[in-house]
Parts: sequence; C-alpha cells; structure tokens
Amino acid sequence: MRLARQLHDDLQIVRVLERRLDASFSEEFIRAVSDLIARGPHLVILDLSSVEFIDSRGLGSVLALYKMVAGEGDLVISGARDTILTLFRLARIDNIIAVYPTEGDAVAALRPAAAIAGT
Amino acid sequence: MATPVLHLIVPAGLKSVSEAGSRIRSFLEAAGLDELDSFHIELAIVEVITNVARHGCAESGEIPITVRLTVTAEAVQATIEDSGSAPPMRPGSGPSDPLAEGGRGIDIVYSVMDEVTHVVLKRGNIIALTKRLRQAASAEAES
Repeated sequence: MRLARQLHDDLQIVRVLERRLDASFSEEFIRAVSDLIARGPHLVILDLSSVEFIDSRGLGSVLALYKMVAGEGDLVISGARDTILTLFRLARIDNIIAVYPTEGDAVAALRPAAAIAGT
Repeated sequence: MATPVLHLIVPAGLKSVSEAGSRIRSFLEAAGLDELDSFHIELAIVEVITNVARHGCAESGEIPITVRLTVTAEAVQATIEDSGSAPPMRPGSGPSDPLAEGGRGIDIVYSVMDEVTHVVLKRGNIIALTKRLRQAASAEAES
C-alpha cells in the first residue's frame, strides 16, 4: 500500500498513492493508515487525488478510519474526483465526513481546529 | 461494427476484485463510454463479485465467477455467473447505522444500474445488470 505522509503543524496529510481502493486492498489500507494515525496528530486529511476507483469496502475502510479519530480529532477528505463523489453521495458519506476539493482547502478548514488542539 | 464483448473468468475471492475491476474499466473506456458510466458499471459489477465471493461462495472455496459484458449503442449489459449458493441480493437491506462500515454494496448496485435480476439455479446463480447509457439517452432527447 503506497502512502505518503506530511506533517503540517498540528495536522497530518495522508496521501493515498494507489489508483484503487477496493475489496482487494481495504484491510491492508486500514492497517497502513491506522498506523500513521496512531502516531498523531489526530487531525487527518486523507488525500484521494490519485485514487480512481473506490467500492463499498473501500468506503467502509474510510469510515473505519474516521471513527478511529472521532472524539480525539477529525478526518476529512481532499481531492476526490467527481466519480468518487457520486459514490459518497449515494452512500450518504458526504453528510458524515467533510470533503474538500484540494489539500489546501482542507488545511484552511482544519487550521482553526488545529490551533485549538495545540493550545 | 462488431458489438464489444468482454468475457472474464476470475476466482471467487476478494483478491480478484482489483484485477476484474481494472479489466472491466479498460474494456468500457475502449468501448467509448464516458467516465461516470464506466465508473458506475465497474462499481456495480465489483460489488456483485464481492457479494458472491463473501456470501455465495464462502463455503465453496474459490470457484470461478464468469463475467460477460456487452456494449451496444443504447446500453451495457453484464451477467455474473457462479456455481455457489445464492448470495443476498435484495435491495433496501443496507445498514441503518450511517457509520456502519459494511452492508451498502447491494443498495449501491441498484442505485447505479437500471435493471438488476437474480436468477437462482439448481447449482449457482446468474445476476444480470443493465445500464442504459446517458450518451444514448441525451442523443435521443435531442432528436
């Protein structure tokens, strides 16, 4: 599972560098990302710019990661392409997890939360 | 022009999902479908394969699943056949908990496809999916 992690003040950006997030890799994905989340910070931007396909198992793994940080921080999505956003809407995930067009938008939205977490 | 047809046989395991999905996507794009239709058709077939692998073939080992995909000017038709027991295919059986990590697959199939039929055979299943193409529908509306 190819991931890239970037620390950004009190939040971390996890970039998924795989083209597919489906049933074949969802468990591996949860393990790999949860290891990164466990190191903190617990404000997490999951960047999906490179991901071309997600199925319901991939969606479930994103929800599992969201629940992992809930209460201690937050997990948001950036960079999801339009096709993937249709799946988020169908599954009503967009009502639960905040979705931003770019990493920059997500950082700007999470910065106030990061500032509070850092005080 | 010949009708594009894809015939794919994969073992009924979750490891097959990625390979099957990638081949279906390549086929649909080569047939000229737009990105959204291709995504939804791939998604529906992948969900059915996962469902069959997890439920219908759970006790049968990795038996083969056969996928046939046909593209016409109006629609894409897919059949997914296996020799396992009947997997759950009823719509509306998704989770009531919005944070549930699983259970959405079949509802997604019904949401993105226009027709879904499930025939239970003496030994196995045939699940047929039809997607009417938006390109064809918009051309019809303009004429």
